[in-house]
Amino acid sequence: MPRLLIASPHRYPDLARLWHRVVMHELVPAFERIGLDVEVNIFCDANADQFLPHWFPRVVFTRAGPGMRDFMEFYDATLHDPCDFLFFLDADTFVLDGEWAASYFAGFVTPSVAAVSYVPRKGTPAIFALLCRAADYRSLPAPAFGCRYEFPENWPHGVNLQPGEFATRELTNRGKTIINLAAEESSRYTANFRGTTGLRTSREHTTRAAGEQVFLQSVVEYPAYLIAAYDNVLLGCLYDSLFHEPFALDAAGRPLGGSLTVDELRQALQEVRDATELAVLRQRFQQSERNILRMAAHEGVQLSIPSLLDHR
Amino acid sequence: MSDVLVLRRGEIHVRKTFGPGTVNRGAALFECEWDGGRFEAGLFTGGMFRSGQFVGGIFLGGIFWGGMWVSGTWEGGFDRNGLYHSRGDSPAILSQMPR
Repeated sequence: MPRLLIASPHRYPDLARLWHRVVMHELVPAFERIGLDVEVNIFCDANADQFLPHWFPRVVFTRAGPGMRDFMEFYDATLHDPCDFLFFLDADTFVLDGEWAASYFAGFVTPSVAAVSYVPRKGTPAIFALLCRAADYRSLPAPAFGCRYEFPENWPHGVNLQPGEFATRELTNRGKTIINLAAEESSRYTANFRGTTGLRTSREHTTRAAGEQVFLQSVVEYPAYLIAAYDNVLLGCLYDSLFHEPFALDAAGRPLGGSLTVDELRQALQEVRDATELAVLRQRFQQSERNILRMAAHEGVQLSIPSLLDHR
Repeated sequence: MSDVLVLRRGEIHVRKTFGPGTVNRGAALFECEWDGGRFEAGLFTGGMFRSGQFVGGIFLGGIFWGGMWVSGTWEGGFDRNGLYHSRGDSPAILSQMPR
């Protein structure tokens, strides 16, 4: 029986609980039904002691350590775990229809197919949700998955290859195929809350190095942070509804204080004056709301979502 | 009058260049170029560390092109060849890599 390893790096156990819930409900049974032996591996990139095993039945945990110091090294180290297929699924990516995902496994009967990318980045294959034939990726020079910065002498106009993009290029050059699902199809079956972990990490690092006020200022500088902060608010609504616990606590125990509290986000949004930027934010917020409401409907729960841009 | 520019905790700088007369004592630098000077504390993220001394603070996601790494926290970033080095790597070794 072919072995499938579903693997994901996580820093925050609350988000991992949401991720695990959907994976166990959708992906694991769907891939088992088509005859795969499925294992789930969570890499604890930080806060390993907070990943309580009873929250994560059937999960094998991997901790950061030599040879696997962070999520980047985890990708390549995991490639050498005993498995035939490897499904990397980002911490903030949710596949809401396991049958849909499993239906693409049939593509591997064609020997030249090396992977299926379920969620593209700017129209090209990405590691957000990537089902790989392990042997093809093992044949690449290491690190196969790690990111690279090409033409660094041209910074800031070099090429910043994201994790997995080098592998895609190498495999394509060898005549392999990555089945690349289009964004339109992907968005019907998946929900993404990109950057939510990154924002929480940024708060940790920026606050530690330069102070909390600087972090709050940086959020206003980068609209992507505002979107990620709102996405964390939404994930918090779902988390509260499912587990009756607050999400993204900070050290002081404030809900969302590890991201941006609702009040902090409201204040940051007040600083956004540009009408075009506000329109983009409004559109992205609505998109995220649709995603979280789909997830809530999937779970059969109601959400109470605070309004943040309605008055602008 | 001193030619030294001191950056302090509580400051944020985005897409700026700092030359040899700069000392960072706690500011956050986003996508900045550091070309000389002494980075004693603060955050360096997404930028180009071209030359100077990194003595303390957090380096996250930028390019360590040259200069001297004395100490600090390496959270991840690229060497001058564009290769990624993971958290906890030794940038002291990176800084000695051939051009």
